[in-house]
Amino acid sequence: MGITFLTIAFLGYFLLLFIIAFYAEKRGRSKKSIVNNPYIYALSLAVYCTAWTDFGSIGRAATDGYGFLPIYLGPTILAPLWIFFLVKIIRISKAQRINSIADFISARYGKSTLLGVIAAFIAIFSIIPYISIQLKGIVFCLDILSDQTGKEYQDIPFFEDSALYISIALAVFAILFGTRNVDPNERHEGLVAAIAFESVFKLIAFLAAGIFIVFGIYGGFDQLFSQAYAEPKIAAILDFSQSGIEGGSWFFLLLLSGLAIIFLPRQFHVAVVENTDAGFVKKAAWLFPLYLLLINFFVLPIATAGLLHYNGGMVDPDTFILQLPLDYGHSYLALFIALGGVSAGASMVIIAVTALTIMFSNNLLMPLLIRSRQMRSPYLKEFHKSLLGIRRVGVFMILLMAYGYYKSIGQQYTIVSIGLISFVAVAQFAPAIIGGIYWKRATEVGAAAGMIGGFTVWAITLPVLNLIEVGILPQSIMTEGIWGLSFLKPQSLFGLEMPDQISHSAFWSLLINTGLYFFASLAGRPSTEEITQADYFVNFFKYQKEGLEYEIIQREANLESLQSLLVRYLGAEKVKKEMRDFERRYKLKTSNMTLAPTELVNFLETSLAGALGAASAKIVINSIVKEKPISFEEMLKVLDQTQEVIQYSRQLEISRAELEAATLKLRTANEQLKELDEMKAEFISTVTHELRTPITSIKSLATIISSNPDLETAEKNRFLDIIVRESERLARMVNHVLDIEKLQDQKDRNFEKTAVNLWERVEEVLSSIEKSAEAKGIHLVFSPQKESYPIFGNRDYLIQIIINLLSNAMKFCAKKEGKITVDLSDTETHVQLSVADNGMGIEAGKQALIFEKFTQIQNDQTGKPDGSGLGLFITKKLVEMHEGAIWVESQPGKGAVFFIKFPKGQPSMPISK
Amino acid sequence: MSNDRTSMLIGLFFVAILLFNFPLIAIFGKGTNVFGFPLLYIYFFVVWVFLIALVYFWLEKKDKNQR
Repeated sequence: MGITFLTIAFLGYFLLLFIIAFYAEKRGRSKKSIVNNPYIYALSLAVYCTAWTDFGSIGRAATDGYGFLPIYLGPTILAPLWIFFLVKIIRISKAQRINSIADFISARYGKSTLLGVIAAFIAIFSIIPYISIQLKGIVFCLDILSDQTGKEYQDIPFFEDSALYISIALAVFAILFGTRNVDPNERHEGLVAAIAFESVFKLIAFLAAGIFIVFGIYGGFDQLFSQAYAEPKIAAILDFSQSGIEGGSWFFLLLLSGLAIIFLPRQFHVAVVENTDAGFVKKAAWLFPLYLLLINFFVLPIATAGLLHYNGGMVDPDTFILQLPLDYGHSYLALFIALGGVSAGASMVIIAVTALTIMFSNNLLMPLLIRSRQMRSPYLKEFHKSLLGIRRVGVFMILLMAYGYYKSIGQQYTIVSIGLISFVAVAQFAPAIIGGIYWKRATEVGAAAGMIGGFTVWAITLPVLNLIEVGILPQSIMTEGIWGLSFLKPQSLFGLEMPDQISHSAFWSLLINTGLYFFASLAGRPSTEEITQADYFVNFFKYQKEGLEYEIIQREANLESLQSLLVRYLGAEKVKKEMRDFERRYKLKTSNMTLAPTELVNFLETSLAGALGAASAKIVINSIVKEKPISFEEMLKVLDQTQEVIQYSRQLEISRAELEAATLKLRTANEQLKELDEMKAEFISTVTHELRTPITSIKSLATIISSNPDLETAEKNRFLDIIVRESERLARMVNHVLDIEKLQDQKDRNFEKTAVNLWERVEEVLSSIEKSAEAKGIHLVFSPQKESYPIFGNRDYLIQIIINLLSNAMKFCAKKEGKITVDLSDTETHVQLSVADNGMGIEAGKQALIFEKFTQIQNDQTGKPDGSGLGLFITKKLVEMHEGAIWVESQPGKGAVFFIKFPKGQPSMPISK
Repeated sequence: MSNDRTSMLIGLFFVAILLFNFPLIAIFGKGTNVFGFPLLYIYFFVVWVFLIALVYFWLEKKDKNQR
């Protein structure tokens, strides 16, 4: 096939990818997403099947039969557990806006910068060779189709190297669709759509190849396998017992692949970061294994067919799938299959680069940047734009590194071996992550020790070995061990020899990793921040169900400076959106806040973590936040038992509410008391003041009399009269004060009430004052229509009311021809008593005042008050105690009429005597 | 999440480990030919389909019935 035609076909294929991605982005923006469903999610997981599946598996099957299979059985075995641990990881990640596997580990262990750096370093270091091997796979397709195999890659100048152009195309794609948003949690619809398309494409291409080779060339499985059994060499690979596969290696491959399906950075990216709904996992848990089954169905038959066809020939088994159709003259089918292989390689490269770039920028670069002095400068206002720029440069750098690796040493390895080396490396994340979501006691130090230990063992047992094979490191290490230490021999660490290098490395690295993780965790104590995060991760579902705030540390910050800080990293628009989200979720208004409360600080830190990663977001936020720490012991105690915490806090909540209610009651009572106290103080000061007046006059008159013995008798008598009168007034006042005290007392208790005939009481009072009225020349009139006016009240108080009114009337009625008219009347509901005098009357303005304390009407003759000023006040109080009303009607000069109205007593009540 | 489902899925995980590992796979590893396929080849894919079907059943069908 001509190279020009091939180039056009490849370009066409890439163009198609771009179009699909653009279309998906457009649909996503208009909220008609085509990728937001579980089927696309399951297909995106199939980024797991790389060029390794297309070519490497067949190569492996051709040498050891079923040896390719555990890589796909591992994920199938673990899939039933996805809805437990994968769903948990996804939901934690969404809640904390975690954007890479390194970020997850960092966030779990107290948002640790150190762990972010370690994890990112492991990921980048182990995945770059893996990416480069995919480039090799893509180039490999081109070469076979154009029949240019066997040339020396190192000799090609870079500008003639198709791998470079492929790298650039993939970089452009990753930049366009993988670095669209500052926050990678905002789904890259175009990226996901393209990956899903490639997954479908590579599956169809592979199935097409299988069907053509098995049925088209050999006429079915039956003929194919019967021919194969006729050849002892080929029959040997179909026979498990002769193919050299061994139980230990098999088991480790299952384990590694089961972990890799989640912990490879690209798998974590599609499975967790790009996930929009944790519920999709339910479908993916059976759909994805089904996909794996389909894509593996023809692997062994194709390998068998290749071996039969090229029996002992010089054809590389990795190329069987392309060579067979080519040799049978189906070059277009070969092209289609090759594009399937390109799909597999390209999708892996794109996602892996995207995921690595996020780690590179957030976990390696960002901690350095935000610590540097320039970042604090006020000129750097729009860092969010630079952030995307940094990621874009990162994409190029990572692909450049992969290309460099490909050019230098990547050529010499098969696809499978490099892939498995990466699997062992990323398996080092497993203890820290799985332990992290189920074991609360795990610490940052433990995770760091485990990962560093595991990674070191991995480096000694796998890459170092490869470097020796390539000749970069001296051969002597193999026999003498690293630095001449005999227990550090790459192929037999601590003297252990295992049948294959991958299981050897996996065994030692995972053992040491887990051991260090466990013991270093137990040896130390977690920090406050670690405990908070640990509890959130481990007890995540509880937090979700109960809607608890997980941050225990109380923090606050000036809202304005917090906002301007965020605008720098996220952009003004995004910050506005986050603030709105906060207000909606917490039903709070932020417009009138000056201090941002803990909830808002936490919420914004999570927003920022989406863009910068948890560790960097913590550093940025903490630079302006004031922390109100609580004691470590206290928290440890509380956090060690979440269950108790929740119950405890509920009880606290309840008792707090009770306390609040009690406080409110107390406060009102207290206010009433204060008011009463004031009233009392005022009353006493008025009373004493009023008492002083008669005392002063008595004292001064008595002084005059005693110091002037020769005072005229008439004059003396007049003075003595005044003294007597003033003394009487004083006595009356004291009595009244006592009455008021008693009244207050009575009111507090329920005073005794009985049925009373008001007529009888009026009669009683009138007869008792008849004499004194007569003496003053006052004419009393009392002639009501009937003799029964039942009300419900206290007999003594009623009498006092009537006496008070009558004595008042007597005091104020005309001096000559005084007349007092008392009358009773009733309606359906009320009984009314009226007492009218013919005195000087009361001015309209004073009519309401006279019922107040110490208001007195001046006596015309003496110019002095006659009463105590308390009589009517007491009367009013007494009337009110009977639920009655008192008022006065008067015109100056024409006397005054006092009215009292009581509710009628029940007729059935016995009338008292 | 029902308890039955949790137990079933965890059980399925252990069954899968058992069925896809030595020594069981060694029993089927002899070079016998069944329906034109090597026995082990059939074994792997049948067990594979069986596991997928059970996961499907417990995650999708059972769940819907209980709702």
